[in-house]
Amino acid sequence: MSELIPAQQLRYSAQLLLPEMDERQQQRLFASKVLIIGLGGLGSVVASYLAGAGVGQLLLADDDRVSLSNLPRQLLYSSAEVGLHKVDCAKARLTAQNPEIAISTLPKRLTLAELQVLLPEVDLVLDCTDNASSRLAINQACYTQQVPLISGAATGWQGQLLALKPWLGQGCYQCLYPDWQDSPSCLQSGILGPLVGMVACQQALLALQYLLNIGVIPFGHLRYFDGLQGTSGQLQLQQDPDCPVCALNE
Amino acid sequence: MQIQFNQQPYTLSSPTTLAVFLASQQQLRAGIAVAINQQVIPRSHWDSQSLQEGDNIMLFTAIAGG
Ligand SMILES: [Zn+2]
Repeated sequence: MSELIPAQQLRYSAQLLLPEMDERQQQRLFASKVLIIGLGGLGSVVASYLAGAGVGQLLLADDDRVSLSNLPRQLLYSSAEVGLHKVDCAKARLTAQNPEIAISTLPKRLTLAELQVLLPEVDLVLDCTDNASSRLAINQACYTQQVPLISGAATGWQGQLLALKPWLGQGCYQCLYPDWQDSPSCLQSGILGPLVGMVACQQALLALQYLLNIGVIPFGHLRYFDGLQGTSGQLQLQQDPDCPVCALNE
Repeated sequence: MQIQFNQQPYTLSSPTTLAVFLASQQQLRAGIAVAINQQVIPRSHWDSQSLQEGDNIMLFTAIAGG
């Protein structure tokens, strides 16, 4: 691996000061490839922190276009971009933030079959989507392809964060919510920007920790937050022996 | 028997299972997860999981927003 050039030493100087970091660790981030699915309130913030930290390859997937009602919490977009594809606006903004990284875009809602093809290429999947069927498809593909998944969700005052290596028998998203149908979206239930940002920041932090192999990643646990009451906690998952994704296939 | 349900103290008059308790609270619905003492109880165990003195039961609703 080549050494960091002076401009890189300066760009990443704050994170390089951490005792867990050094140039080799920074090279590790450069060599990482992360799939971010969904570029709404979660994905905007997650993508910005990962790009900023120097994660070398970001794959951004979202079929949506920027709308005026996104702007209070989806910090990558501007009023002038209403109507444009989120992935294109996100790529432009993130490239301006950090021109050193490679960003690929997929302006579509990924199917299970497409996920199965894509996942072997990536080190980590970040689920930032806004619907149950995408979440369960991502969970299933991560199980099959054995790619770690960090899934964030925020609606109303509630935030949930799930870190999974579902092939390890620790339980999966499907075990947690076996009969999940589509839940009310942000537009139906309401959301305040910082609540979704709080979940996204945790998701980005865990992602960087995972890529750097530092700290404690709560794989097999659900973290929850109530932004109105200020409460939070962590639950341990258990595999459901009847789970059609992670148990019955074995 | 004293338990906690969603942070509120609750008295059970007779031994019961998680499934029966949730039904009595009109909480048997789709898209929920239940934890006892910070451990998620898989859906297929709800019928057999009996509640114990001091159990801390919490109900979580699936959320999909992002
Ligand atoms: Zn499962």
